[in-house]
Amino acid sequence: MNTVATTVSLIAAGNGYQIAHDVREVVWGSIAFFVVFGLVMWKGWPAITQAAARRTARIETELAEARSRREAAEAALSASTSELPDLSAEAERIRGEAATTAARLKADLIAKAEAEADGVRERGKSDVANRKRQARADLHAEIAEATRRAAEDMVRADLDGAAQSDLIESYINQVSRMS
Amino acid sequence: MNTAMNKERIDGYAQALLAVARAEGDLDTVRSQLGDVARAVEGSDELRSVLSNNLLPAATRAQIVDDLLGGKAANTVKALVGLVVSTGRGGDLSEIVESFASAAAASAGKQLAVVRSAVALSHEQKSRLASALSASTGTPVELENIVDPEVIGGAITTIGDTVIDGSLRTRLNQMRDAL
Repeated sequence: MNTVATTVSLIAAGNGYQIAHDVREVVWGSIAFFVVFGLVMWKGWPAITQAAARRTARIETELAEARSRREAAEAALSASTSELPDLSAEAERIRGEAATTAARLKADLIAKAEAEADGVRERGKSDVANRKRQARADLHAEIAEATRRAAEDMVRADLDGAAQSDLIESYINQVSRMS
Repeated sequence: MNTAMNKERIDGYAQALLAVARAEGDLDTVRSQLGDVARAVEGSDELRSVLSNNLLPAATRAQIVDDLLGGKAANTVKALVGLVVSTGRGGDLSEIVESFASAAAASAGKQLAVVRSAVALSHEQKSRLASALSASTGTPVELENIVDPEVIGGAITTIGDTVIDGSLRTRLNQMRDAL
């Protein structure tokens, strides 16, 4: 009640609003604070420091592992880098072989195509020659047959009974000479 | 195999015809007329086709033979040709008759010589040619003369497997081949 009266009086005096503190509240509040603080420091601080230590250790371990992996990666990179010249040489060799094979195939294909073209030309020449030969032979055969028919007509025209008889006599004499 | 069977069959028919001709007692006439019939059939594609057409009834074929020969051939000849044709062997008639002639000559201890000539040989020419052939083969020869205009002139004799060719046809063919 005194506090309220004091406050009202202070306002009335034109000094602004201010909450007045009770001394007991301050004392008990301070005691409670120190009790809580003590409890926290007594029970919580070791846990906090341990957790921090564990985290520090874990981080250090991870850092060590990362360092180890980095070193391994750097070693692998170094090894790969050292092998690069060999790979380049291998690639160059493969390119060379491919170029040689391609050149050989090209030469083979060209040679084969030329051989086939030569064969076609030769066959063509041979076919033409054969056809010429056949045509000539057919013509000769036709001329010979026509000649035979003409000769037969002439012979038949000249063959009278006497000539037939002479031919038979000649034939009989020929058979007689065989014995 | 088929050729051998066919030859055996032809010889069988020839022997049957020979037995019938002998039984009838007119072998020379039968042989002569059978030869004429065989040559007539051989010279006509149409007649040969009809007589060897087994789709026609046997009685029809036999009737055709009877109509064709009519009174021109001995009854024995008509019967024998009718037998051959009606049994479906009209296509083999020429070979059967040839085998028959050979068998008839062989039965008389002679060898058959078939002489093709453009004109018929005289009796005297036949006799001299038969003598010459007998002397040549060492076997008595029975001569059968067939007039064949295709021979043109001279003659062609077939005796067994031997052919003695003195025809103008062959000489003209040789001239054609030489050309």
